[in-house]
Amino acid sequence: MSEPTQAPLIRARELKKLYRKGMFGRGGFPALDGVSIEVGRGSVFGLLGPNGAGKTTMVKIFLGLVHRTGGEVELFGQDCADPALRRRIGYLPEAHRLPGYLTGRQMLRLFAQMSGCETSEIDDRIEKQLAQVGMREAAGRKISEYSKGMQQRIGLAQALIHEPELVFLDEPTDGVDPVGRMAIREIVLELKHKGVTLFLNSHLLMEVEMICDRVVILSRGKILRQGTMSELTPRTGSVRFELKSVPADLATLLAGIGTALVPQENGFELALNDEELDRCIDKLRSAGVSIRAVLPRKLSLEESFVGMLKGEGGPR
Amino acid sequence: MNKPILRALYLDAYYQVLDNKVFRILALLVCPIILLTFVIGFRPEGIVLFWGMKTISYAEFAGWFGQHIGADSKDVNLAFIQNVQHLIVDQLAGNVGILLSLAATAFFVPRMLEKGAADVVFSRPVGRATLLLARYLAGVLFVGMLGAVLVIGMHMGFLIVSGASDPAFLWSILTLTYVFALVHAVSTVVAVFSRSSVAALLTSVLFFSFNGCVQSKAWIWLEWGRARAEAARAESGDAAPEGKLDLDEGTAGLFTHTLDVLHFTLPKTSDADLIVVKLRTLVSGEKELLRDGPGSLVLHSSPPPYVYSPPPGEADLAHEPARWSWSGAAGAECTLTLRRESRLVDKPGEKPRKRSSAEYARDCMSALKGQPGGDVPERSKIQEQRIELEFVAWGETREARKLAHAKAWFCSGDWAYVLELEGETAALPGDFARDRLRELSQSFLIDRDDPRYMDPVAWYTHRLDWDAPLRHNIFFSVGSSVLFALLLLALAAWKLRRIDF
Repeated sequence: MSEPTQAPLIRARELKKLYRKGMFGRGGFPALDGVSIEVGRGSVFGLLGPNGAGKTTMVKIFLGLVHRTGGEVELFGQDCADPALRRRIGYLPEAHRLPGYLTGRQMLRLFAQMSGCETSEIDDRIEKQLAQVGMREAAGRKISEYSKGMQQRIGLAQALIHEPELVFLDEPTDGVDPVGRMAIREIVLELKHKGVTLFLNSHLLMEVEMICDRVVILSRGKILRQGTMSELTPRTGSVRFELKSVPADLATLLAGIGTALVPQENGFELALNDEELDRCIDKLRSAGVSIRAVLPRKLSLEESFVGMLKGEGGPR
Repeated sequence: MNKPILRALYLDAYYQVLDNKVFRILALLVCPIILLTFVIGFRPEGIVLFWGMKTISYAEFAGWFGQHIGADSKDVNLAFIQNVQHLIVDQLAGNVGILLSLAATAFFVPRMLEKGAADVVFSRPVGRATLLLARYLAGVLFVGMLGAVLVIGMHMGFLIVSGASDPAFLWSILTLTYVFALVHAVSTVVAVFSRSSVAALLTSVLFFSFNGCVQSKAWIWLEWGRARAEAARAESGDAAPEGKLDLDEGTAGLFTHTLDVLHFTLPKTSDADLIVVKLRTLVSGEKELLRDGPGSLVLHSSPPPYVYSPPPGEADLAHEPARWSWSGAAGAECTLTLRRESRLVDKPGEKPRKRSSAEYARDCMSALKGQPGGDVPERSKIQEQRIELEFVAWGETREARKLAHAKAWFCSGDWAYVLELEGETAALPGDFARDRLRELSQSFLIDRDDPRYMDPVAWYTHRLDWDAPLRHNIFFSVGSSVLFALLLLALAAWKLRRIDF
């Protein structure tokens, strides 16, 4: 796996977007309100947030699909408004609609050419991408005949056909069955190993947790929290003990050690500090209890995410 | 933009057109029309069905519709082919075909701008304006391909089965595409602003109809009316301002000035057919039997059985009159001569005055009265055709032969044409003269820039030229129409750049 380099590939400063309403553009609502992020080369960046938080707007500003109201955005060290930059970018939009009058192969050829690929390389690239997303057999059929899952796979192929350095994936596993989802996840991991910078926008927090190096949580157009995965999923202070057999006098045995004892099947959970952890293990061992595992409990990304939103007032 | 991107945009347009159901339906509709040109031949000997299984003479065919064909058969053959081509391509495809094509292509741009579709397309390294232009050209390609299939197919059919087809007919591909390109620009701009196929379709169809009414009907008639009034004033010596008509003043003036503004700003779609007529003439040339330059008299062919004797081509009828001989049943025969003379009357101290054909006839009547040996002269008019004739006919009996005489006059500019008849007949001289004069003068055409001798469309066709003044100039017509389309496309591109997808 290649290490992320220090120079940021995406740099957004005080990014603002106000969607105006009405004929004279008065009023409206701020989709993004002073967001600043940096994404390093070769990293996998997760963007989380409730519906309407501004995630898709942010991605679309990077791609020139939406005009920013304020702030600065640099991709590859240049202003993102330059269309030529998009030769180096792949994008799989949420709820995309690919041209139904084309076959999968024709569509890939079209987008490869539009992305400026060399004609001599296109055939090889198409076959490679079709194989990667498992769409070789259906590549001769019209896209309008594809199922939702097939459209998602061929959509991913079009995002990668020109071998971009930066890939924006907006809900890449949306509508895909579990097997397909796993296949897409494997493709994303392969890209990560190749050093491609990935910007993942997903509601599936487990997916984000498994893949991303760094996450930003957006809410109401502002950054609620950002950090590495370990920063966003801290230890809770509880430790789970898995035992060979649970003694009947567990509460008496551990009296005075830690707090909030929760007996569980094959063990228990207890909130304690490091010194208390040592004492707890000693007590159990001296009582002849066989310990199979001691697991410090961390918050899941989902718990962390929901907790943050609840603290912030919940989604709009 | 590099080559692969251009190729991609072209292929995208091509696939989109081929996938279009309306395109397939139109292509199927075009096939039977082409097929007909392969099974019905317009040969010099007549209309040949199924490669010779049955032949219908042109006279018989015309008789079914109560018409009479008098021109020689070679010309009839070509005239039939040209008329069928004009009917199918200029009228049917140029109106109904374009409306159907507008319906078929109205969704091209709105579909590209739909949520989801736009994200994929506009996130590519291609400018929005380029993508819009590619979609616009896809629509133009749609009509260009259909037009090419129809026109080339018919041309081949006529060439192979009828043995003749005017190569200038191929210009029609360009005309159809040009007219559609102008109207499709309206559809494109509405599509970008509304992002609705229905709005784009309705607006472009309404525009096509309205613009057609303005350009081909209202404005041409207005111009023709102005020119007629101006010509009449010039004739009567009235010094009214040039080009002014009563309609240009008061409340009516508001209407006529609005028409002028609409004409100058909107694309001149109806000029396309007329320009093609010009191009056809330019390429194939116009066959004339006789042309008398000063009076602009043109004769394309003599009606049978009139036989024209002087050599064909440019003539000066003031010095060498044209002659025809005619022979009928029961020994009836006559000769006709046509000469030109000035009709300007100079009086000292006065502006020169033009004599009318009625004055000529009146003077002739006066001169004939009291002449010994002749019947009472009869004065009459032939009004129901392009050229109005005033004529005087009288009979004479000489050595037991009944002779008929007639003199007829018609005017063109400063000139009067005098047609004289002399012959032998058993019929009444007045009736005999009327029939012969009518038959022959039907072939005459005053090919001059004068609305009094032409219907509005013929006059406008004549006026519209490569070196005409601005309002009737072909380059202005095409240039301003293309500019209109370009402005609309620029407006659409400007709007598209501002859209947040």
